[in-house]
Amino acid sequence: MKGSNLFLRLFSMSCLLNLMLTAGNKIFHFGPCRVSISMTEIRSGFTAIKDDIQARDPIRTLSILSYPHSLHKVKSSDRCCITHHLFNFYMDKVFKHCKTEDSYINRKISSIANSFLSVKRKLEQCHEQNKCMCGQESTEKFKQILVNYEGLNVTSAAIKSLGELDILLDWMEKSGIH
Amino acid sequence: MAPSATALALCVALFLTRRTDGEMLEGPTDVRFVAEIAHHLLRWEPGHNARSDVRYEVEHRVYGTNFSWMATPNCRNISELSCDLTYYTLDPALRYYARVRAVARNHTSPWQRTNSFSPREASLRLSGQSLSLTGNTIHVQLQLLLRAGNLTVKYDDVQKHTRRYWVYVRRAQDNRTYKVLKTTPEFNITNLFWDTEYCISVEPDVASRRIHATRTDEHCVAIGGRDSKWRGSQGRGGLVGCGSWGAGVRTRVAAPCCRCRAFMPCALGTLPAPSHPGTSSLAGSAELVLSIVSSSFITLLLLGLLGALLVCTYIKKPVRPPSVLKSFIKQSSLWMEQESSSSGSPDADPIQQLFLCQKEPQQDSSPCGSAGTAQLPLEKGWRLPAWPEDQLCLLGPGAVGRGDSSCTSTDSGICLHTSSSELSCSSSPEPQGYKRQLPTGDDSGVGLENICPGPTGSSSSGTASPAVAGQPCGGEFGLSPAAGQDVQQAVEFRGYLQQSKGTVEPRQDPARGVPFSGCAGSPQGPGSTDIVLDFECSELAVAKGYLKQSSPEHPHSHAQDLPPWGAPQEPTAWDLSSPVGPRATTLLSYGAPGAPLASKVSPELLKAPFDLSIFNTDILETLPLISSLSTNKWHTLQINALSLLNGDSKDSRL
Repeated sequence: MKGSNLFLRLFSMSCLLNLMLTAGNKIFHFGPCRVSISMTEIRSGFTAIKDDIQARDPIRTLSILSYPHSLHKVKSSDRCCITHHLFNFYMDKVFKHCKTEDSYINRKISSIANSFLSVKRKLEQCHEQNKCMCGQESTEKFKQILVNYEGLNVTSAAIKSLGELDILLDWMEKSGIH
Repeated sequence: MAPSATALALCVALFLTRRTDGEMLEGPTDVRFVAEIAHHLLRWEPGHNARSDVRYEVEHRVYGTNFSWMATPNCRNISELSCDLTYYTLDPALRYYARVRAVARNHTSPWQRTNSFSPREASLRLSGQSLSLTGNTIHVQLQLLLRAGNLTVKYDDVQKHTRRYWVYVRRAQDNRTYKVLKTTPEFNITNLFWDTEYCISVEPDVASRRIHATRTDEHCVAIGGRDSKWRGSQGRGGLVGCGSWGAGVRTRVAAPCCRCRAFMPCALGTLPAPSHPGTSSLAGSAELVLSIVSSSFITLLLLGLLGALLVCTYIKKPVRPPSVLKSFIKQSSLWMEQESSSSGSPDADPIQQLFLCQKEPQQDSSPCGSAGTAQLPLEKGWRLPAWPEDQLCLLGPGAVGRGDSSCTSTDSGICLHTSSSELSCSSSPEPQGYKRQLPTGDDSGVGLENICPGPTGSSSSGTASPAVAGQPCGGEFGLSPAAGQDVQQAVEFRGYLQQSKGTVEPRQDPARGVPFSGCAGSPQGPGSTDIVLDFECSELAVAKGYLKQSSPEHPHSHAQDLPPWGAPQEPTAWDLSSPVGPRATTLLSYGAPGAPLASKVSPELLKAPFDLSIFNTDILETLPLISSLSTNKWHTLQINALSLLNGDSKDSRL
């Protein structure tokens, strides 16, 4: 029935519109690149598993993201580059190695990974549009992060990186919101 | 034995001594940070069996650095259950851990470590706010400097992003509270009522986190009359003294008010009469109304869309008859015309006739409705007119046309309920499902399937669908065509169905597989198979009483059996006993309504398997009507049968 199809579409569109309007997405500015990120969703997912994930990480002398203030003092023009690298890093090296025996935690990790995926796609678009140019300094900083990561075995490094997600989110907020 | 026993004893002794002597202290439990901004408190609970002289010591470290655990100087050998680590955990960008252990005499407990802690996770709080009044506008300034001992912590150093503040404005006289969202530390609250007192408290919030927050203490201010010359003083001092008004201020009297001289007259008498009390609405009420209207509009719109969607879903398009039936429909219409012309058909609506016919068969429960008693006296002599096949199918309406007085009579009348003009029982063997005219009842249980004695399928081999039970014209249900066939072979024409005897046992012939063998269940027993109503139930009824069955195979045409209907009795092609199969088999010959009709009888008249099962007792009851068969009655029988069908299908949609 055409009529019912039309109404069904209208209805679903309006519902979607409602949902979108109420979603709490924020626009982040990493240099010239503008990305919409639902920070609240990612944070709430992370907060639910933070204690558990961080408790699984026994090594406290080493940090992957914050040695020595890796993410400090990143120039505004380099922010997109570092963010892009970091999101690729998390998608490729962290989430897939963070399988726990607890299905609830796995679900939360999956939802965080999904949110990251959408952000990563947008950053790739910025990269293709040449809005994410990498400077020397940002390349160095990211290399340091990789070195820290590779200093541990894969699973431990992945769990530790996941536990440091709040550091990443804090940094993103600091650099992306003016 | 002895050595083992000794060893065992030693072990036990060791175990016990270890337990008692070098007893490890139980460490503190539930070690956690209970922190608010600039006040990071580490708390814990004593372990079980904690002794009174237990002391605790605390260490902390920073995550990600090489530095190991550092002792906390002012939390060494303490007996309290908390330690203030604010000084050591000030950097909001770093992550901290702390650990505690219990110490008693020479024994120490294992360390108990907290989870990670960052100052940004501390619950939010502000020092307070300062209010100043200008006319009916309150200017609020939040105080973001927090003190921790001799430390000063700035709130916006800790929470740098997406800060916002919820301002609670409470009207003192009726305690109505309004909540306003602000994003700057300084703001105005405007459009307040004159001559009203308001109390304000602020709760900080961070948009991107879900974090606990504490509301500040309430500060109240009273707005004077519009004409009053009272003007608020700037700065915070004016209200500090009045912060504790609370409810007492409402009266606006008392000496303490005079300290708030900036805002309140000390003597009631000097207050000007309230003027313009309602002119200005509280800030936010307009927004509230707007939000309510818009949200209700959106909700109504969504509901309307949903309703339209449901309506469209549930409105059915008129069902069109399948193309297969179209030819039959045409034929039936033709036939109907013929019938009407021939019989000067009564005007009665076929459907109505159907109903009429239906009345009778209430009494007998026997499926073939031979209505026990007055049934079919005609057992023998009844003869149904030989109907051409298609006529047969169309009997319903046609029969009606014939002036089915018999239907109205108490006769069961064999109402050949061909679905009115729906089916044309053309010789085509296809079973045509016919639709009951009355309702477009597709879903009715009475799947009157094609009445036409189709050779094929309808013969669901005697599996009269229960739904169609009682369907006089269930072509589909066809009397178990298969069974019928068998039966047919076996059955000799018995003349009139025993049904005339009235005690038609239902399901006479399980072999036939006719669920409903009731119709067939003529008292004749096996012979009742003859009666297998292969054709519409009406025929069954007919068969019961007066149908003379002459099966093609069985050349014995018992024409004599048929009641003298006067009309040329031509054996009809109805093969009561045999279902579909050889149409030629049974011809129920009874008073043919007219020669032409009889002539049309074709062997395959009853092709349509006709499930006896469709006959319910009601129909069987109509069999007594057979007695009154006559040409006209033939119609009525049809009608009756049809009506029986209707009646049977009461529960169905019909």
